Amino acid sequence: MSVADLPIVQLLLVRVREMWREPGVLFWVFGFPILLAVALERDSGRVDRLDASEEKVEAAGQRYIDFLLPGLLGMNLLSGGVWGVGWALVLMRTRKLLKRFAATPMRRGDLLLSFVLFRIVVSLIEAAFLVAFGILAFHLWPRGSWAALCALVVVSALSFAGLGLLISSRAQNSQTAAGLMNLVTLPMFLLSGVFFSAGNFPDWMRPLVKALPLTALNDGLRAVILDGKPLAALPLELGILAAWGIGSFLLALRVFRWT
Amino acid sequence: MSRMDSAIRVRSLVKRFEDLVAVDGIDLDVRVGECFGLLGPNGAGKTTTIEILEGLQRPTSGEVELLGLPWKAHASELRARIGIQLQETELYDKLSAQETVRLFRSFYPRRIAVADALAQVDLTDKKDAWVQKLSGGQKQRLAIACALVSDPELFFLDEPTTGLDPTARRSLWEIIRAMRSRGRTVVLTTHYMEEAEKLCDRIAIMRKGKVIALGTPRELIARLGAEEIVEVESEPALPASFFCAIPGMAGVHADGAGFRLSVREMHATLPLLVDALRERSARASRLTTRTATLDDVFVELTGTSMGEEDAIAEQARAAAQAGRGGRRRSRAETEEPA
Repeated sequence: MSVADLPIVQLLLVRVREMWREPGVLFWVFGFPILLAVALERDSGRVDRLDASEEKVEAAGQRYIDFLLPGLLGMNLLSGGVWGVGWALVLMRTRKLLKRFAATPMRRGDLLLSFVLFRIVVSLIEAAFLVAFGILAFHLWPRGSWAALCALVVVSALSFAGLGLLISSRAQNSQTAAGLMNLVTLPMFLLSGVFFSAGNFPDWMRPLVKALPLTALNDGLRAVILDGKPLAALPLELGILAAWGIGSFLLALRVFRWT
Repeated sequence: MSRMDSAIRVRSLVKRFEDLVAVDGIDLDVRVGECFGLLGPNGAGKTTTIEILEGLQRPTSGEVELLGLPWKAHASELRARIGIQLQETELYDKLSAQETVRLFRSFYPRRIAVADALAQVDLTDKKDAWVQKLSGGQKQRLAIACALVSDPELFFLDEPTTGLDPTARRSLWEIIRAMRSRGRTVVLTTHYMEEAEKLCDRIAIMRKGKVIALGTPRELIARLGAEEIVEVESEPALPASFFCAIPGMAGVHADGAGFRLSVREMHATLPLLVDALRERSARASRLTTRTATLDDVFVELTGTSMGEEDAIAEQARAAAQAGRGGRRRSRAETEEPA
């Protein structure tokens, strides 16, 4: 039997084919963050020019785009994880494919593993793509190590895949699932410092905001990309991401519905 | 029947949902190598029964053994030895036929070649076509190829031909006959009496969670006591008692504007019927004769045809949903008990 006929390989191929054969998905994953970066950078550029005396603001590392790009990467990884895993699983449930799989001797963990592995690979590609875009378009070279950046991306992929799995674990139709996914992702887009610093919220909100997984990822990405911090300097961020990931997986495995 | 010959053995099977009994204490024995049909109108409990046999739902009580093994202790072995086609499964739109079969094949310890599975359902030409490009009948055949690919001993097909055009139905019948001729056991549910007569060695007719008749199609029809049917409408309309009085009449059932008459000997009874109509100065506005079918058996057993039962079940379901404000709709969708 060839490796290609292992269940996990076949299940991974499904994920790759579904994404590759759906051009719209490729746009949202790769095109959209770049459009957003370009649009917002132009916008902030105009504001900066009013403040013409501050030439130094334009130095790499202190521009708005430097703040924005890691945030957009974090946002993209979150929505990719939640929608990529959650939406696909809910469709499989409404189309009775999960039920069909449950009737085979497929090891149920293999299906979940295929989603997690796929998200790790896609997250790394997404990150590489956006970082390359930052370098080419804005000369934004990450200051920290590539290893630290990759490790952060992998941990966040696990964490967000877990969230997607949990959100989709019981939803019986795609409207409910879409509502739940928006409910989880939209507040984080606003609160977790994607477009503006999360430090501006009132004191009482800060611990809550800090505990969100996207805040942890954005803070971590900025620490590595902008400040050149090593992984060892980010125990809190990694811990928060891991806790969300492990917590959601454990809970999802208990409540997941195959029918 | 010895254990060796038993493909399925069910005793006192009950499945209860919150407020209704979907399967109400049934016993079934299916022999190795036979094609066994579960028939009945919507809501009779066919799908619930077959899903319990497939290990997808747990019974409330009762025993279920497949291939001599109880489900509880041998779930993963049984999953590897049975092949399933579910009602309403939609495969991945953007996978090709052969990619889909290869995916399912990877789950099983015993496998046949992907090309063989596709050839058995006559989809070789479509092996590279995406699922979304296939017709309804081709999709259904692909679903069956996914079941065939593990070379199972026992097939479960849940309404495999519902919604298909006549040509597509006939090609599925050929596939099912081929399974049987290779010595495999097939259990299928269907809506169509005619399909069951053509395919099944034995049939269980279900209604409201119970098996109300069991036997070969021929036995069931013979149980009518009459194998020929006259459908008649008269002008002016005549009462049932008029038809009952005619010698040789075995059964009289109202059917739309007229009556459905079960007749033992057509050649003897038909002239008497025509004479009786003439004596009353009545005219037969419609008069057709045919041989009895399983549908007539169903009418004889229940007083209504399957189509009417379906309509009643649909109404009850709609009323129940309206009454509950859709609260439990999601469950009804997944388990279809009502």
